[in-house]
Amino acid sequence: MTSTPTISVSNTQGKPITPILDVDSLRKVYNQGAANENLAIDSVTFSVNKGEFLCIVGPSGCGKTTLLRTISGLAKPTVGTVQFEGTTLTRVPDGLGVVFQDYARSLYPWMTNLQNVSLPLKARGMKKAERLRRTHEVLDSVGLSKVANQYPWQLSGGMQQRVAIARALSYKPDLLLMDEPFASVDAQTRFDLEDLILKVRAEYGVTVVLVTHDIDEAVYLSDRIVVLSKGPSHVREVVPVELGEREQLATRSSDGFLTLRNHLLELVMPR
Amino acid sequence: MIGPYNSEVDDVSFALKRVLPPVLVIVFILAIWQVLTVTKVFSETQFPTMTSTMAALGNALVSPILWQAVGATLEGWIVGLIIASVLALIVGSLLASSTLAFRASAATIEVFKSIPAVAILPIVILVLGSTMNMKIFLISFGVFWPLLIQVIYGVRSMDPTVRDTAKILGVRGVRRFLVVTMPSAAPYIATGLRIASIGALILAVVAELVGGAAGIGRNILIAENGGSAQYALMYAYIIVAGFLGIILTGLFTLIETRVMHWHESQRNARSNEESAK
Ligand SMILES: Nc1ncnc2c1ncn2[C@@H]1O[C@H](COP(=O)(O)OP(=O)(O)OP(=O)(O)O)[C@@H](O)[C@H]1O
Ligand SMILES: [Mg+2]
Repeated sequence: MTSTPTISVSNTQGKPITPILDVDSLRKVYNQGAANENLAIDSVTFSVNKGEFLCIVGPSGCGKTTLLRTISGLAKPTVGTVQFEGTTLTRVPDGLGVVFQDYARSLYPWMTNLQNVSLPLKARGMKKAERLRRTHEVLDSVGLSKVANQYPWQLSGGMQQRVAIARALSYKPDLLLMDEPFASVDAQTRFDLEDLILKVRAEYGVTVVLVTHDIDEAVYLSDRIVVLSKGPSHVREVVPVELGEREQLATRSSDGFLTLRNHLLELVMPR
Repeated sequence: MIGPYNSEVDDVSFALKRVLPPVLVIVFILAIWQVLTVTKVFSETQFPTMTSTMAALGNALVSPILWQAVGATLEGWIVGLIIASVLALIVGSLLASSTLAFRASAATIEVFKSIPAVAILPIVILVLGSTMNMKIFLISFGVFWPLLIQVIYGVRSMDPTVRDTAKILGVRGVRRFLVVTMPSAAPYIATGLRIASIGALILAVVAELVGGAAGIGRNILIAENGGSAQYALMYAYIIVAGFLGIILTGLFTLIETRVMHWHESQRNARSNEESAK
């Protein structure tokens, strides 16, 4: 298989890269045919490789949430296709984790953090002992084993976000989608959460697609950045990021980081 | 707070502030009742004195007749309420899950809801007689429609994020109904149940008073038919019926605060109480 030159692309280690997600000419119109018809996404094409960390940046209202909803199978594209692990998406696939922009409303307030995190495992028919073990393990990896039996609303915003991440990781998805996950927390918490997501990504070997409007964050986290135009959006450019091992202070002050950052700023703020 | 905390003083002042005023109002009303009847503003044949009513109440409370009647009323109340709730939860969730079904059935539900349950009492008595089943049917029918509407609105008002989350997590079918749909509609359902529990009690008493089924309502009727000598007892039964209403409402409020402890309204109430201390 490795010797099929027509489709094989290799990264630096020489391993073949297979796309886990393929978005082709995706267009999304809300309320088509009605008086309040609204073109949210014009045409977006990109693909995500297995194991990759991909950020999607774009200005507010350009259709990022709409794009993630369509990728996750929650909404249907008006035109174009989304392929997940080689098959065209018709409903929400099993191997997909999502952290919503509105994480506070996405965690169920009538369940404890432990119950929230183990809910997808229950839905997958996992036995109780295994389920508890897995739930504690994943709460542990986001540093929240102490609050397992509390309710989400008893936690700070940053902690709630970590519960949401733990829940999305509990069933070991192949692809994790995150919609502006760190938008509503303070700067310190934000840095901690960024490092946390890089850590669990390595731990779980999960592919991540993260939406943000913070360019610094995108550069810090990604292997590649998809830059969207203002709405109705199309892809302006796909920017590869090669910064090696990340460390908040060192990475953010490195030349490579600053060059990329300026390039992206020019893309989103054209003169 | 400055100074040592003294729970004894606190409890006493709490009792003075919270308990004393309503007790004074009740004592005042009872006193007026007594004055109006003793001074013959109302004659014995219209209105028994407060003291004789209290005596009758005291006697009734130690006699098994009262407790059998209360038991019969509560049996109809609980069975009718359970039947109506189970049906409303199932039918309501199904109707709410489809916009077409919801639209198609809305008019019918509106019509049935508008029929006062008492209006169908004659036909129910005709078919079922003065029985417990008659009472249960009347209660179920009467509280089913408003409950159904609460369930439909509760399910339909589900937060889209809650719905999407369930889809993403792969929660479907009966599990989805039990652990997502029901809790998310719980505020509406709780309000519906609180109103239904009072409605059910009223219908129970009506079924007994008018329809002749066993229970506190029929005892009121029997006492009334017993002539003015029995009026004190009749009022004693009426007071018992009133207390039943208060107890059942209190019970529902208590259950609601327990079951809905996670809900924003309860959380806010708790934190307001905290900061008021
Ligand atoms: N359910 C909907 N029905 C109709 N229009 C919608 C709907 N959801 C979003 N839109 C519209 O689609 C466009 C893109 O919205 P979207 O929420 O995807 O943007 P976004 O990039 O996520 O914004 P933000 O950065 O503020 O989160 C907006 O014009 C919005 O009004
Ligand atoms: Mg958004």
